[in-house]
Amino acid sequence: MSGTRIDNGVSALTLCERLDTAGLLRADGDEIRVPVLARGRLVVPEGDAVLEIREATIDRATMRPDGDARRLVLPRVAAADLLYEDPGAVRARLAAVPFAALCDWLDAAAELLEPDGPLGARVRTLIAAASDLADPLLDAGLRLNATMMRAFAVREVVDRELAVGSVTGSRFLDEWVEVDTPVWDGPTGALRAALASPAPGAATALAPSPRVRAFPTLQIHVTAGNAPVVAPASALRLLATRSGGVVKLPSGSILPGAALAVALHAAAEAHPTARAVLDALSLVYWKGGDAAVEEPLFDPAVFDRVVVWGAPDAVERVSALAAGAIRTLTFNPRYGVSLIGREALADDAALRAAARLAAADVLVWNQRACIASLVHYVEGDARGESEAAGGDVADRWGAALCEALAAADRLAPAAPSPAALGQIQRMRRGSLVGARWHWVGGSGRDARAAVVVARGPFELSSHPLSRVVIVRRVARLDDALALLHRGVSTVGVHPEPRRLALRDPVAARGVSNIVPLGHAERAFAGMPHDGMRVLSDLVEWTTG
Amino acid sequence: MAAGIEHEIHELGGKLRAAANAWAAGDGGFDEADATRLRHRAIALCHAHYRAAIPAYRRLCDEAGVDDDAPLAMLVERCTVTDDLFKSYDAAWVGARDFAALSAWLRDVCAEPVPADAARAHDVDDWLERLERGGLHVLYSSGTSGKLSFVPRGEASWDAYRANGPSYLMHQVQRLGVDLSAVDGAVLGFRGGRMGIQRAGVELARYIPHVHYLYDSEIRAEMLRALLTARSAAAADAARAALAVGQDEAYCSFLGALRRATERGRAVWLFGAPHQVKRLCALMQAAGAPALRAGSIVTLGGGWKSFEGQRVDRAVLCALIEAALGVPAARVLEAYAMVELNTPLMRCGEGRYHVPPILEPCLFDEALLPLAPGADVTGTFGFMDPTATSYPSFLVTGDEVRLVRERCPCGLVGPALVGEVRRAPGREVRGCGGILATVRA
Repeated sequence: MSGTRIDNGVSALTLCERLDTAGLLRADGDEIRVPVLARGRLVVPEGDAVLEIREATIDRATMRPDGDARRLVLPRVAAADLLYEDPGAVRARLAAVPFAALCDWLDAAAELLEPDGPLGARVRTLIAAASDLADPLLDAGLRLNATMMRAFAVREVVDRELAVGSVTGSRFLDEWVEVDTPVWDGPTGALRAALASPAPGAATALAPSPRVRAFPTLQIHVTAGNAPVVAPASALRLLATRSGGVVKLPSGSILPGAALAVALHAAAEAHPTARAVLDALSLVYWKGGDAAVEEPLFDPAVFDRVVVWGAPDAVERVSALAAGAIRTLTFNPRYGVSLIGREALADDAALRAAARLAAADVLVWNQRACIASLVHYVEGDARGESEAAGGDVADRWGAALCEALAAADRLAPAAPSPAALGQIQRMRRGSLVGARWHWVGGSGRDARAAVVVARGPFELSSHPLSRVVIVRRVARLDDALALLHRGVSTVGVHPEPRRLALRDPVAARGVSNIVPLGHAERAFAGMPHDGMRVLSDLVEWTTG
Repeated sequence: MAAGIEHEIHELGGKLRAAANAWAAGDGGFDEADATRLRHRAIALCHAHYRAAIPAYRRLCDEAGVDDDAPLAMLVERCTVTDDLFKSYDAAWVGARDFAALSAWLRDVCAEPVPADAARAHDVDDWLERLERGGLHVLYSSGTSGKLSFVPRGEASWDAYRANGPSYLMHQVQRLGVDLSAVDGAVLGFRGGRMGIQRAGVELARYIPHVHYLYDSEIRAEMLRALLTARSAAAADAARAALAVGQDEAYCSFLGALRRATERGRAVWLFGAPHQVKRLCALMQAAGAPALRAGSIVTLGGGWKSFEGQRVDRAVLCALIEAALGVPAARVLEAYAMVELNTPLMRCGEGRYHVPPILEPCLFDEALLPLAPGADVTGTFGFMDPTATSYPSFLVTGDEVRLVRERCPCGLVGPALVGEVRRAPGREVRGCGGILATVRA
């Protein structure tokens, strides 16, 4: 591995000075040198052993590429830099770190990452230059990255998600928790009693009560770059379970993870009790599919869990690497839809209100999140000639939604990338030829968002994910059930009585979240993700 | 009036074929300005014809604000359709055997009458046969998600499809000194069927009396569909077996046919996809089979497609062909063709795919907006083929190419594709918002 170690710093200002001195995380011309974390060591790019990621820069006024590009330069890491000689010893050291000490360390790192602080502002400037997220969304994402690391937030999540009965989750991380439940000895119980009966007159020894502990694991997280919160959130799951492992940063969102690496590293100086967690942690980048890194890294003798987010090829590739030998949690490609009951079209006021709620679910990470709504099924009767083209109910909805998306564009401007524009044109001149298009910003190069009233079923493989909504009329919302499946993560339903009526049949199709329209991003501590209690899957539930 | 326009378009098509013939002859008889004038006139007429006769195209024009008199640049920008148009039907109709719905869809993308009888078909092959009996030739190609593209041609467009290529390709054949009466054909494909890629082999049989096919049967759309939509390895194996694809016996028989041709002193015109020819060469070498007779030709078509993992550089493949078959690189031909294209592009000895004057080439940027024509431009390839009146043949492909406009050292003038043809950068599939490839919504 190339690179050198830099000194720790504890205040954000000092840390920024040291980053300046080292020429890290700052724009030097078209280059940004990015450090990574390898088993607790901060590693900087040096010499030829580097990787480069090219990013198009954005004109923040128009949210379109400005024609320039920049290079992120990262150190190249080898699998050996990320593996552990004695995984058992690493797990034991991790288990010895008190959860409170872990939280204190994370809280200090969160303080360093505060968007209003010097490091937060520095990173925000760097990210914004190449981000297609409007300021409100970008700022909210970066604030979330800091807030979710706060001690109170980590404790809340762990206490809820790992809780058993009335016992809070953090107790299971810290200690062997006695289980208050009847114990069954199994079929050999009677034999044991016969074989090991106490000597005459001796007291019968009572077996100790069983206890359960959530033991740390060693994990690999392969994250996705669809949002700046994914890699930090996945890393936080690793940390919250007080585990060790490797987080692969996504090429599309390197800097938030690098900022996290710097903050965790710096904060550890004042929190030596949590040092074992830092020493077991790597936040690194390698090009997905690099067999020289991936094949030795995915070693079932070392790692206990693999978490993979993202595109189908990444999920397939990483799942194959784990090859059934490492328990793997996959956050598969999924998408969201909205079900709009006929009540929403009762009058113009109701229509406008519902469309604005629906627009919010379209905005989620500019539709690149699996919970964002891509397709709207609108309930209504076909009327006359318009039926063949989707019906005027769908058109009314399309027009109202378009108006709502235009309003959203004023609040949080966005524009499709050139590739997404190309895909929109392909849809317009291919699979959705002659559909009725409602444009925000005009068609062609000026497009900023679009609503398409489709004549029939649409193949999602061609969806451009850039605030483009496909609208289909259904005679009854129940008719849309046939189009729901495990690939649908989230369904927003309006109005609320219809959601409550449809909640069970929608859930029975494999949908994970059935939410009120406009609340696709709703979250809470302990919330399942894609049908899983993720933290619970990331610890090793051990009895003793 | 529509019939009058169509008649004029095909008359212009005939003149364009004559121009292409003169162009390919390279004897100074080609008038590029006149060919351009004819082509642009034919394109303008095609646009008006499509707009009048093809409902989907009409809607596209209406949505894009394009009327009958739109200039060429506007047609390129707004009216070039994508290949998705030809599979814009609901795949569920095929599964449900709803051929009435499929016929209605075909009518929507087609300028020809769709035989009513086709609605009563019992499977895809039956549907295609009924359409053909009614005068509508429908070729198909396979999609990535198991969905077939259907491209319809009435008699006039079908005639153009069969006549365009020979109008200029024969000069290349003649320059190679090929005596069609002295060669046997060998096609690494099916004897027949309506799959676009298989047609070149079938067309070869029009000119060569004796043709041996790798599979002595017609390819059936239903079998192909079963293969493409197989959900398990076992189902794929069963579908493959039904198609007889990849069976070693077929290749053994094929080797025998080549040997017999050689023993009889006959040269061979071999046609196949690159991965098939590569496999054949390996088998020839393993069997110690003799090289083909001097004067033989190899024509590659169809690209590597799902055999991308087996791809070798063209130079490597040519060296293998020469070593195994004894056919030198100069006699290895290659075509750029697709089921939506009436007018294939042949690769010359300089490695360029020349665009015949029948076609208007155009390039697009990543946002699918037209790139300004220039001497040397790279982008997504599109074309306007005004010899097709049955479907909108103003098409933007998924291929990224470098298009140059200069005299080629081979002697041909006009635009040509240089270098490798690659798939244009794919759709962005990002993060957990990536989409399941085969999901309908």
